[in-house]
Amino acid sequence: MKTLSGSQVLARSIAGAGIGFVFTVAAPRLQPVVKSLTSIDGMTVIHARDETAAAMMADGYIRRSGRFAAVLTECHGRSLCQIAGVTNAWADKIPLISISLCDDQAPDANKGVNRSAYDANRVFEPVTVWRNRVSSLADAPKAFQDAVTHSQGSRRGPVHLDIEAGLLERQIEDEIPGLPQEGPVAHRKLTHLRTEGAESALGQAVKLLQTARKPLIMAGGGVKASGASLDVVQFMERYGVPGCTSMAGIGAIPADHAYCLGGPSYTAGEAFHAAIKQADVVLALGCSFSGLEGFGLPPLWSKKIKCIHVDNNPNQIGLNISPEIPVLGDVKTVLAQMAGMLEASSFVAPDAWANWRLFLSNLKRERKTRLHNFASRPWGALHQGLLALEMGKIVEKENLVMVIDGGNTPLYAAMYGPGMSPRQTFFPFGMAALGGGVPYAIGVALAAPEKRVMLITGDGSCLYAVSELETIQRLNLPITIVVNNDSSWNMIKALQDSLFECNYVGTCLPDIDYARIAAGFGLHGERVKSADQLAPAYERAVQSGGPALIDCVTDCKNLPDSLLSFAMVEFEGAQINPVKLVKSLWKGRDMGLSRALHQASYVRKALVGFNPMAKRRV
Amino acid sequence: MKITTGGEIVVKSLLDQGVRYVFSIIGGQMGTIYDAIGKNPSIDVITPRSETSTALMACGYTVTTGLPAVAMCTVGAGVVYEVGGLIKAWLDYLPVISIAPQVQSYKMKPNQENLQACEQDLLFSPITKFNAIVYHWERIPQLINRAFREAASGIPGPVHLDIPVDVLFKHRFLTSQRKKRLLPPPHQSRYIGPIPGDAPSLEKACGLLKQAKKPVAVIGQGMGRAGRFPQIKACLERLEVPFLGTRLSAGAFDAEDSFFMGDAGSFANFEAGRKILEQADCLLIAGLDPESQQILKIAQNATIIQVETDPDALLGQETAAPVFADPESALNRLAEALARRKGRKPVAWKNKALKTGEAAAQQVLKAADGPIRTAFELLDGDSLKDCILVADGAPAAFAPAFLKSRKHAGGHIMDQGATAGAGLPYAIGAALGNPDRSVILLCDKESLFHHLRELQPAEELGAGITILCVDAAQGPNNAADLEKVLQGFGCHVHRAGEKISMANVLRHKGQAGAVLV
Repeated sequence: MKTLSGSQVLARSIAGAGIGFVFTVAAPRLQPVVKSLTSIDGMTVIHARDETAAAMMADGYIRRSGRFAAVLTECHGRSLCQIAGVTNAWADKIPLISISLCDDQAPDANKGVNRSAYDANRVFEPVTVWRNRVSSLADAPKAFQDAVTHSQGSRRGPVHLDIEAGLLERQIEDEIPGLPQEGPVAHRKLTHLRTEGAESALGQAVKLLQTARKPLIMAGGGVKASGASLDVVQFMERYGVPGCTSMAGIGAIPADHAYCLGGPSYTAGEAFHAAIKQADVVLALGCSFSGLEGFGLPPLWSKKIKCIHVDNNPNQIGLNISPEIPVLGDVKTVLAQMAGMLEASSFVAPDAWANWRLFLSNLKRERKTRLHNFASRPWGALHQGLLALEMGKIVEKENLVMVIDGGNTPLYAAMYGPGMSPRQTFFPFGMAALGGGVPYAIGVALAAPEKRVMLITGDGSCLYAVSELETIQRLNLPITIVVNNDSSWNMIKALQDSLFECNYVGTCLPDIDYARIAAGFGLHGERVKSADQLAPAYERAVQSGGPALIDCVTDCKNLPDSLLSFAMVEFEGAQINPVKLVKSLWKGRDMGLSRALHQASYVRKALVGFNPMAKRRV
Repeated sequence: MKITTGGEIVVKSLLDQGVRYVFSIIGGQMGTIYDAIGKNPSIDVITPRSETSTALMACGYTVTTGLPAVAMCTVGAGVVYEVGGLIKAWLDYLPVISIAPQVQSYKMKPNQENLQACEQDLLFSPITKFNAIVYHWERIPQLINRAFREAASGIPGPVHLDIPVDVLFKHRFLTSQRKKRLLPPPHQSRYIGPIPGDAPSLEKACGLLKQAKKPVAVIGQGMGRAGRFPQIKACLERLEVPFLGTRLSAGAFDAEDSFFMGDAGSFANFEAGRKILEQADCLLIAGLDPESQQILKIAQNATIIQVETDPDALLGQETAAPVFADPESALNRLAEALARRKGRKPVAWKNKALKTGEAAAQQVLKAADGPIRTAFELLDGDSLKDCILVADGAPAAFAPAFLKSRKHAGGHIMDQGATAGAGLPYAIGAALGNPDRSVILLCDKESLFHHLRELQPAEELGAGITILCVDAAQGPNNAADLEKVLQGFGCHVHRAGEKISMANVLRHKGQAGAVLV
């Protein structure tokens, strides 16, 4: 019988669960585990500089590769630092395997003098779907198998395992049940429950859809998880149903598809607003109706909508909206069933659907024209919309993978950027958190070694994980970072503009040369100030042969017009002082007439819903 | 009569509690708080580049000033970053006040997939002394006062409040009468003053100490630092009992303290030190913490006197004299009792203990490798005078032994097992709180990289800390050229051996400077 160390048992248990990528940060107690992991054939261990980033890298890797990955950290502060990454995965229902060491002593909830005995698993509880504590080496293989299983049940999401640190120093001679033999790691792909919808519910759903006058498909993150993007597009095309996406569903339907409006409201603007105000039947596919989508409820959504809600998680159905027809099932499977039933009934879409689709298409086209014309005006500095447009052209031409980070920057990217396939674009979705860009780009780049990655990030967000530029440089990852540098935390500065009489506190940043910072890490760095410099700068970045950062100085006075939609969700129920609002608008006249008119037309088109031209063209 | 928002009430309550700085990154839901801060010159926002650092900067600020510090991060996405920093305040017994907005009160619990939201009260509960959700505008002052009371009383520690956006944006007319009722003067919100203590226990402790021939004291839990009974130094001089300090009280005691044997960790790991502890017949613990618990295990033959500001920390049967009192009052009382003692003072024991402490420190320093030793050599007497030294990374293990023989150097040792790389934001917080003192961050490359981004706000704030960094790569995989990285952030970088002295670098206060070893 061969004696195994605790570290070897742990490493083999990780590999045995099909996890082939482990992201970690060097720490003395973890060294033997890392050594054992790297001795396993096919196992990759990536060292990050900080635990928060390590968790986000693992998340990015899973999103792009569709395979399992883990983050492994030391205890206490090092463990809790990864919670920011774990929370992003939780909000977007990504099955991240989070592993930390913990003290051997039993958790003590009494909050006395023995502070290190707090229960780390309890801290992780609100942002994970399953947790466990490994107190014996014999339990390790099963614990990892369970972790993987529970991460992709009906409640999909991250799981956390606390490993008692003392186990690493133990030796074990007995055979451990379930511990795999030495050998290469069998990388496990994420799986998805292919639940069929109940015939009775589907019958009602099809009937409701057939009687609809203004149907709409709402594609959520569940479409991507189910791998159903193509099926949704085919369904839309077959019956001429317009579609839109939730924030988590961005990329589920290419935004540039003729039938796709984009989404949600604060990226797609009036087209989305009109759709959710006027639609009579919504076929919601794998969509959680989160706050980002206005909960699927008034005031953003019409209260008259009848919804068919398809979701694999029974707890998701009825959470925010009360669907007319709830369907428990996998999006891909259910859609195929519905298509079959519609075919069997020889259903032909009525003409009203075409008019409805045309009206929404007009709105979308008008919006695009209006946005492009506005961005192309001779502004004093580079307009963020132009930056997103130019970068979008490069992404399309070079077929890059795009990662987005920031506050306003993702809005610009969604408003002006190209239509992307499901695993080609990565936004900060459910948590809308800043700072994940660099680590997500690293995770995505490791999962897509054949592709170049473009990260578009705001300036506020780009320093969060700046230490990881060392990781990018060390691994020589083909990542180009584009910084939308408007020298402010601009999304919130807009709030101070519009509600607090331009009382700017904590939202202004100095003129920071991020290219110089990147150059310090050895990246190719340069600064550009106009749209025509962007493409040549990108060329030089690629020719540098390594990672690069392009610092784009943009206009801090620009705001995405659709920020108002965002504010409606964020401040629903909050009392706004009307006197202050009026005073703020008066002070805000400094923004200039053209910007004021641009905002005013958004209010008219999207929020008031006055769109005579789009109707006339139908 | 004035229209007042929830945010204004928050700021007024913070001002009443003496808050000068709020370490924070803004989020929309905090709009009314920021607006109120912007209109009040007595309070400022310090903006780091990640929410993790808000709590770490607050730790450095409060521990070096004794003033209250607030970390404020936005809903969900912000607070989840903060958790990794606030754990330091939890483990190090620091009274950091954490405040965060939440989504609308009527749909925040249970989580309904709100924008950015999670149940952050649950997230903070295991690592704070007290946490609460402020559901009503009227309860803001009461709960903020309570948060400060809970944070500072007994064994200090962080607290957390969630205030929903609708409460923060709610505005009401505030009459002067209502204002008086809602916002009591700060001295009415908590007890601030000595805890003379439990008289019978104290009497017993005096008797035990008087009988002791080989007494040793251990001062822990951060006692002796700013805001945490700093007069304890004078009490220990009067007491004339050789004492050890734990990591959390490091820097509070130095070569000026006649009876200071050094840090508990170095002493206990030194064979002769261990023997001293085994021989001790009386162990006086003021402020139990993990290190003093280790000493307790070694000093098996000693009678235990334990002085605590929180009765919950008293050990029970293990302690012969459990004393609920503040350490200044208790030690003064014990000193008076010893002064009345008849017979000879245990001078030989004292000398032996102090000599052993010196030898223990020397042994630790001997074990330091070349670059770390060079770093300590650069910290000559002049450059350290009245400085705050924050030690992080590999050099932190040697810093307590180094500090033992220095005078006037406030030292702060980062615990490598608890939080990684806390040194930089902690040092920035310390620099903000002590504009007339130089702050030196002694660290290694690995630890510096965790929060490297904070060099940017440090430069912006003119919080000119000086970094003395051991550049010999501890982590085999850090490929960055540290000199270039620091220059990228605008640091003036020097290499040891360039005839540079720390005194020269420190002279450029207001600019971030670095010396690489």
